[in-house]
Amino acid sequence: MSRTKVHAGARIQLRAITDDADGDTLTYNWEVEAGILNPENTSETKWTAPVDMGFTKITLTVDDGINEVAVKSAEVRVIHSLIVAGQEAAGIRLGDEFDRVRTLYGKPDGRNGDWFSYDTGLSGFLDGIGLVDSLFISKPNTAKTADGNGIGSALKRVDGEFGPAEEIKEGGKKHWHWKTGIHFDYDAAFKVTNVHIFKPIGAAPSGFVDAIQQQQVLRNKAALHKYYAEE
Amino acid sequence: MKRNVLSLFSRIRFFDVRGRLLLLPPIADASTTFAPIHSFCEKRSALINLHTRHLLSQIVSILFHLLYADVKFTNRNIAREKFVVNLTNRTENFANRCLYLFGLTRVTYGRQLSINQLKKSWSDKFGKPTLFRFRAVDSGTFALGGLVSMKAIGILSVISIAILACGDDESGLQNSPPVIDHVVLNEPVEPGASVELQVVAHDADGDALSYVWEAKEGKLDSSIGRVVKWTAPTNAKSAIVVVGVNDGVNESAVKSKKISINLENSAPVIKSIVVPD
Repeated sequence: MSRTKVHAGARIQLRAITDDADGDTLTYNWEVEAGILNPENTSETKWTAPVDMGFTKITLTVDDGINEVAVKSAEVRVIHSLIVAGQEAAGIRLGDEFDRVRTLYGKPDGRNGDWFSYDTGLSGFLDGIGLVDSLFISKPNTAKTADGNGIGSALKRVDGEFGPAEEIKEGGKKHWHWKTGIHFDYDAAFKVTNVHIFKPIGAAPSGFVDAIQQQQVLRNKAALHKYYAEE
Repeated sequence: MKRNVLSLFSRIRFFDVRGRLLLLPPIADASTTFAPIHSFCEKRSALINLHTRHLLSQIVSILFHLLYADVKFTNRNIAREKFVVNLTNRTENFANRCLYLFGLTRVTYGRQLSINQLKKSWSDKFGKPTLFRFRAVDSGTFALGGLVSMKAIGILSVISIAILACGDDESGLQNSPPVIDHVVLNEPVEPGASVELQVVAHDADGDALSYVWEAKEGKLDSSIGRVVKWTAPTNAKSAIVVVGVNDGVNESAVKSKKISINLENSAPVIKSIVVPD
């Protein structure tokens, strides 16, 4: 049995397709086992999928005020949360209020000024007015990009998805994609250890020039060759 | 059970055998004997003596008439109220051959009271009480009358009329609540049709019952009465009407009735729940 898959923490518009032969006015009542429902007693409602992976059930009751109500459930599989460069990670969007973070994940395990962190491998910075400014995904978080890149992914696969980094620092360990709003940290084996989501910057930050990037690429060429050779 | 002051007035008149009023009733100190008695129910008994001090050489009918005025009950729970009238013949020099006819010939209490027995003749045994019981059914003024026909040879006849056990007896406080047997109507009802709803209820005490209807669905033309008209809704397959029956004493009996409506309407169908990937 195939079930609809949703990403953990994703904002989803649920929609019911119903029919009433008599054209009676129907009332809708949505219920979910997990996640956050914005109660709208209409045929469509907004649901934030739970942050925990697994199966969950959505139940809809439809009443025409005359007959027995109709009830239908849909079982949904919650899979890993998404990383979208420059936009979101693990169900949190850049620009979200911190309240949403707290609603989804609870009280942060770490908090220091504008910085918050969870032991699940989600952390981030808030801007001056308490909105999420940037996000970090690290071990053991399972959030993945559209192509399935996340913690532990190989540099080659990441580059396959995002293209070559616009800036590489710290001996090839930090790969910045300024224009897409994502940056990856790699370990010695060129596996992702940290993903950083930030608002895209149209041009490289001051001081950054393409030449430097080229030099950095060249500087790390040996390591990269070694890495690709192992593939 | 509490009562307000109950006043008791009595009148006595004497008639000859042909029913003619004796203008000079052979009775002494009637005023003192028959002075109003207040609150006798609180004393739980009252004794009224009919003294006839005259020698009676002929058959004389004594019509006595006890008038109870303004019997007011603060508690309306009196359907089983019992008054026991204890009539005792204490006539001295009583001759066996004399004829006594005694009966509570007329007892009115707003409407006729029920009397458990109507004594046509009275015990001729000296001092033996004869009991008459009647039931009060409502507050109001009532009268208790009796007729004694007697021929006494003697100098003093005393007929004691004692009113005992006014009110609370073992069942005096009990009043049964009404019971709703059923709600009658022709089912199923067509949508929008106007139908007659009838409640069948009974009350063990025969209390007057009042009826109140309520309908969330549909429309009642009146909310009171044993029979009401109700218009069925056009958008429901069933409706509930509730009727309450009250006996003025107890809590209302309530019955709800689910009425089937002959509405053809299909149930909604949920074809699918769309959860975008």
